[in-house]
Amino acid sequence: MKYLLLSYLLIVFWPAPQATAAEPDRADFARDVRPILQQRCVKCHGPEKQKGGVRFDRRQEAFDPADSGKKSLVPGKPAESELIHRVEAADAVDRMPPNAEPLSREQISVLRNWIEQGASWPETDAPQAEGQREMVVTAEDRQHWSYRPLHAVEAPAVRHPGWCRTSIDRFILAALEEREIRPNPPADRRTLIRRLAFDLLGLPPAPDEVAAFTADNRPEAYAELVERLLDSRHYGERWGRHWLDVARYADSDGYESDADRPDAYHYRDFVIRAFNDDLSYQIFVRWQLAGDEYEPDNAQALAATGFLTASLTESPSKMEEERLRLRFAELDDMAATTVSALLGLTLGCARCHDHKFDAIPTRDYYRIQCAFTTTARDHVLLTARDQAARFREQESQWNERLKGVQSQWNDWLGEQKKPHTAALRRAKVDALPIGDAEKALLKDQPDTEAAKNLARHHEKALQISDDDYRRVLSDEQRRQWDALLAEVASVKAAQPQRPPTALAIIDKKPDPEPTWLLNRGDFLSKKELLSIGFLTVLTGNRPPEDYWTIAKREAAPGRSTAQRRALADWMTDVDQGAGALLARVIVNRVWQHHFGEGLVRTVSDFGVRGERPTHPELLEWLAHRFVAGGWRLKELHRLILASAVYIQDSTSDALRSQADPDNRLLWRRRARRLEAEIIRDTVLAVSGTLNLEPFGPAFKAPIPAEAIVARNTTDPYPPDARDTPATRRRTVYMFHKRVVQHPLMQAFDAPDATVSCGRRTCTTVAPQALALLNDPFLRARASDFARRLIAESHSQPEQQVKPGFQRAISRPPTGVELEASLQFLESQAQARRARDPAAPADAIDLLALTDLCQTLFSLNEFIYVD
Amino acid sequence: MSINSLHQSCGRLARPVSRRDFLARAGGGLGLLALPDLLGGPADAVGDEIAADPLAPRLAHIPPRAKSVIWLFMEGAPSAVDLFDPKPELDKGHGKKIAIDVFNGNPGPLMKSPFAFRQYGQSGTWVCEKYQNVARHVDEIALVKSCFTESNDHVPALYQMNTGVARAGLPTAGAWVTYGLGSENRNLPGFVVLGNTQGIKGGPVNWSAGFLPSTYQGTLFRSQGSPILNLDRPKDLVVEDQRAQLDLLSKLNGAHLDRHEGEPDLTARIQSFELAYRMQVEASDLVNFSQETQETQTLYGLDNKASRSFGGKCLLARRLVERGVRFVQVYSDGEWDAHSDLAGNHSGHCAATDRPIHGLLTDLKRKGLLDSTLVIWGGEFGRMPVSQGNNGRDHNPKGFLVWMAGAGIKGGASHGETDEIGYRAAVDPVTVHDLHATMLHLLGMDHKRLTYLHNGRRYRLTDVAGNLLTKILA
Repeated sequence: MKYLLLSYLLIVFWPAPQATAAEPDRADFARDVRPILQQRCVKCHGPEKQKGGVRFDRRQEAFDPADSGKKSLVPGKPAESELIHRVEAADAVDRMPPNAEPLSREQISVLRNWIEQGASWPETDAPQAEGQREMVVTAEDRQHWSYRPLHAVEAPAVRHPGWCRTSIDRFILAALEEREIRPNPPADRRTLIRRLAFDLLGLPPAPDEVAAFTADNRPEAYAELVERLLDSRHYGERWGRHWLDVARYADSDGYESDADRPDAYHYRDFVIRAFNDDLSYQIFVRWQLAGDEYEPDNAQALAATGFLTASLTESPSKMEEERLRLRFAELDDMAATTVSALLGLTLGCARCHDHKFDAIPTRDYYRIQCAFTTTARDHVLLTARDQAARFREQESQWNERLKGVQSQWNDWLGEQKKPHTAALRRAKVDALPIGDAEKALLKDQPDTEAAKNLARHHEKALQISDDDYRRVLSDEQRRQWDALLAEVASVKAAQPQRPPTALAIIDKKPDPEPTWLLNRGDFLSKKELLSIGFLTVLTGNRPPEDYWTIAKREAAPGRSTAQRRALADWMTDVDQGAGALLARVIVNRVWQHHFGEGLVRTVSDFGVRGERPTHPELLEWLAHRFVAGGWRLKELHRLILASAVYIQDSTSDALRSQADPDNRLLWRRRARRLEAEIIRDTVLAVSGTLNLEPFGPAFKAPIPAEAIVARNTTDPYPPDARDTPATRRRTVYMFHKRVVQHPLMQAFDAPDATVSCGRRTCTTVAPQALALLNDPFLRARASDFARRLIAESHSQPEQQVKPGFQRAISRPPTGVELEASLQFLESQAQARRARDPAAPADAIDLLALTDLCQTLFSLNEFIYVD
Repeated sequence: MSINSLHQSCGRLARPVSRRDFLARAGGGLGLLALPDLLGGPADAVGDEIAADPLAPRLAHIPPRAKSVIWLFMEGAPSAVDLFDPKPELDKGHGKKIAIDVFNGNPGPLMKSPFAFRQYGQSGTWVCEKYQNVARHVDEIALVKSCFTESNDHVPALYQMNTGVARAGLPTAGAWVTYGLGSENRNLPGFVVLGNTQGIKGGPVNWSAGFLPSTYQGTLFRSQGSPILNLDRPKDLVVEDQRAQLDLLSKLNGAHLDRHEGEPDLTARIQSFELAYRMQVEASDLVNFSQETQETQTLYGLDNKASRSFGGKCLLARRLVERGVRFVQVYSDGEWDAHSDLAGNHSGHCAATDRPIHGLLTDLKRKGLLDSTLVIWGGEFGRMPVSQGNNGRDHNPKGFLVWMAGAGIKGGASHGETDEIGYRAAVDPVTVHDLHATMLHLLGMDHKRLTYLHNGRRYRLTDVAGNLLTKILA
């Protein structure tokens, strides 16, 4: 409508070459009339309420008489149409819509014209454009493998049970036996401890841990190692990072201003703690969608909703259209990320039209959006409600007190000053370096233009300071002065301490804001008012209203709409909601991180276009066990890590490679490259400089000025951040500034947090090698590593090389490797000595060893773990 | 794999054993399976070709007109009515209030251009007085006068110009092109971005590979000093030290490789170190402008303070396409974002870019490169016909101008019109998808067949839209 009016006005001044607007006098129902009815009338006269028996969302009722007997619409006769009377009514009591801005003159004239022209309301007023029928979700749609309810599966029989250690292995082996492919035997202990340490903690095992595990021949040693690692607090730092990818978590807004989010890290900490504490995944999901509606007194639950705030955002524009665009982009992100992260479905495709492949009607998209329409980002006090209330009460009392003592002080001071002002001013004038005539002018005719100019010129010298007054006051007044000021200071000092706040989501009010079905995703084209709903294809016999009714009853009253809680209840409901798919998707994500590929390789697409699972029965068995065992991720890890398929070695041969080149049947282990964060953490750990401080505000790592390639208008990234112990923490705690990505992270394929990322790409490109060759941070760590080796040895090159290999790749060098390394040290020292004969011998040795350490960082074996 | 055999491979990486290997290495997964389809020809042959090397130059769908693109990105959004599309109605209506909604609120009245215009060339194209050197090329340039986009805000608009969509997360045009065609120089990245002094709004999303393998993302170059990050060796290392490190690395990696047969990623990684080593030489050579004559440097305006920075980038762009780099984006310095004093702002930006653009077009032509290089000029949106504050103009995505020149472009042509005041695209409106479709077409790619399978959907740079701008095609 706005668009039309705007062009219309322009045409009045400037006859456009092509009149894009329609003739103003011919009203088109769909284009001109329905938007007015939808936006201004349907809330009370529509599908939800039919006040006075009037309904404007459907043709058949719109022309019926109302309860009063009057007709809202009389085709051809606006004067007899109650609609026109009511929107034009001068008396606010009669006017529609009530308690709201009246319709504009243009809107009324559109309605009037339309009725006059016969009030044509097309018979086939299908919601979809071009007469398309709205998608209906069928029983057949529900048959897609991932949409079905969970069912119990038996592990199959195998011909060679000797290889199997767990039920998982029977599923794997059965498929391999079918193809006559033999799986690999277990890897050696050194390989296993390295594999487990990187897999579970993202840190290299210390040489003594490797030695102890290698020497421990007890059969239970492996399981004990798994337990020890799962108990480590570094487990959450490793696995929390996987989830942060999915949650597109970052520490700044993105877009133009890219303002910092200094209190966003509470969400990151919540995730790490949830993994460490083995919080049930069901609760993990519920809190991220609606922690405030489940446990309003639990700081962790409140911080969890940071999941919904993690998207890009921008400070609101002055232009309404831009504000709406931004808000709808945010709402889209919340709904699409929720469904893709938790259910592995591409909901976003249904924003403008019914999903082309999956059974997701656009209506489902907007009904899910209802859960988020009323939300707002907020800096939430991370404390129980009563304490938050107490704090707010204290804060407001304190504000009052402060205001009181400040005005008391100001009033008193003003009173004391008054009698002295004239005299002090005269004294100031007398002291000015000007002639007597000018002094007289300033004293006697201060309001003349000349005097004012002169005063401006000597503004500073004429100013009477508080000290000037204090000097002329009496002792008693000075005592009072000090006492009053002391009172102000003491009130200021008593400021109640604010509990920590977190960037999180709240509902602005308990009544839902309206959510509309939009025409082709256009937020200016509202079609129909909706109430909360979910994915029909995943909903059983329990209607969405039912979830909402219960959520409203259970949630804390008066604070929010409980719609997110309804969504979360449905999401985690295994019997009537999306719980089965929720379980399959997370089990598959966990499998992917253990093996490099998911059982379903399209980890965020379980729809009909996604890949089928390589082992469907295994996925089902795991999901079933997972749910039956209380949604515990650590239990799932234990199951998987105990299997023969997990511990097998990486041996390959041509025959088996040919039969299954992609290793889809998992007949061997494949070496996997460490992720960007883990490369950095490992380099720090190996060099002995890793700062293990957990949690808290993110640190800003030094980024070379030339790599700060974006301009952001708020909180620019510091160009002078230093490489200090404080910035040598684990990378999961690194500040992720959205428009200034850390170069090492970018080079090694870390996601940029613009959208949910379920599977990182893994590229091999020259900039990675350039970083290892030349990056100052990595070179500095190589130098630290060399110092460490020197400090721990007795300057014997061999006693440096051997522990160097032990620390970097968890094994001693082979004879050939040792010899090559020693030769390298010798020739580097020689070359360096030749170039710089004056350099002290230990400096030369340090540099040569640094050159070796840097080369160890570059080894394939360093960065690829078997 | 010895170092020697690598040197003999002319900068191309040796071919891993199978297509699967490539998929694993590029991390492309499913996506790349779409390529044979999109590039036509027998699937296996093309698949193998791509498998060999993700950046290997590839055959196009249709005979290409252009081999490379130089996109002169006028960040901040220049005003069409003040540069190439004068509107007499603005002179007539100057000072008159109209109903209009603007980004920063408080719209002023209609404002005429502060600049004088005259017609140039056989085409009689109007150009403002501030762009007199660019004006000398009007018969090689085709104006697209009726562009429009969605967002009134710089960053979403920048994202839309680069990806087709006004939000973050999708692959950029440069990444798509490099994915489709590979690159002709293996010692340099296929997609290079020449940034500006203040930093580009919205950051690396503007040259992101999105869901394409990150091999295809743009690499940011600087025009002075060391062009790429980490190209300079640490201070305590000389080239011989590094060579010795690489030789040791190769020895140690060799033994590991023997224990990991059938892991092509490991081979590729060994080769990437050699490539990086060579890049240090090649890239330093690239920015060595002393290889250019004084006349050439002057041609690009390097002798003038106002145009030195942008001129250097234009010269670098020519040196890049000369070396086979596929896609070069050159961002202008400062911003054309004239919220106040449009005359001062645009005069300054014209002074910074006029001679460099003239130099680039002239130099490309005389070197025979203009026939194979598509040059694009434009911002992320346009500016309002009404004034803002002190004789400025606010953002306007509803109508703006982009021009193209070079390979396959019909010089002197023009497409579309905005309305009488230059506010809204009125005749033959052009979407960003249309611009992208036309660019891909000139590079020999059918925009409907350049696809990538991601999350169950075959994505295109042009989404489900895009029409060729046939009026400007030679």
